Amino acid sequence: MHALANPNRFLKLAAVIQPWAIAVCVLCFAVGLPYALVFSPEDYQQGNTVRIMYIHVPAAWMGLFSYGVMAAGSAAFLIWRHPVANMVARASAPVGAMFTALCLLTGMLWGQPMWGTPWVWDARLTSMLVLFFLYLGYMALGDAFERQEQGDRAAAILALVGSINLPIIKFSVDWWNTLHQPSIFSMAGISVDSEMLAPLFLMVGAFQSYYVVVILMRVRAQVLSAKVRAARLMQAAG
Amino acid sequence: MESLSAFFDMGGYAAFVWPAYALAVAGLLSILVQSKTAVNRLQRDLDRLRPPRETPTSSSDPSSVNAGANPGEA
Repeated sequence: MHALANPNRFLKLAAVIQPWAIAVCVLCFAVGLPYALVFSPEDYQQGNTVRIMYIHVPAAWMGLFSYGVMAAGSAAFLIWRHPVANMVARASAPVGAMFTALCLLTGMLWGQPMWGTPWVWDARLTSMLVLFFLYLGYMALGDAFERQEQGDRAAAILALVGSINLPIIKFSVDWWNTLHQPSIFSMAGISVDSEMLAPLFLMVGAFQSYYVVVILMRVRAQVLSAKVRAARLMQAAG
Repeated sequence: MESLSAFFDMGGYAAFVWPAYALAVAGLLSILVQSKTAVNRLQRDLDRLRPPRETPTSSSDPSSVNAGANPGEA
């Protein structure tokens, strides 16, 4: 892990991983989308609105996953001062915010026909909305200070404090009376039809590999930005 | 032909299903484009500030030796 704290070494590793991540992403979408839209069955109760699940569930998962990475990166940054850890955290924020927004909006599109309402203030929906605001807060706080290091540290602390929201989201459908469907995972196994499980996993895989592609790009951009700044300073000094 | 319009109709739920997929495409593409654009722009800026080493036209020409050197590369 500590070997990856060096930005250039991280970039070399990233260059190796990137083409594979792109390939997996394209493949998962190429197989997953036709499955999701055409070849998977309608739900006996929900009809074709169930196809929204193939966007909504992967987006929800990635919203949580991105925050987890952001929090882990923030912790590594605060504890060991890994610059790359902070770059990964900062890279994760807008991507996670996008996934969370996508989850909320597709949820509303699903809720309207199925529940008769696009929104209820139940535990699952409310905690996901809070997650979205945490992302926005992280991004705003990071840029709010005179010195970037102060912003980085403040945002990192916010990310860690906000991570309590992750178990709340996860267990909200168990702990509280909620309109939202319960978890598909239980002791009895997975409660999703196998013909729906394949496109669901493919779309999760597509979103997950997309995340890798984009995060590596964004970390690379931050490393380049630091180099540009350094080069400009040298030019000004020279 | 009839099954194609049935496909777009999504059993009456077209107004909900298609916007969901459209939002997904919009979200994924916008982040991807913004990320790629940033990398390209910064790489261009860096190359302008620190031109990549070119093979010198004359190896004995001292003034061209360090023209493209990257000082203090970590």
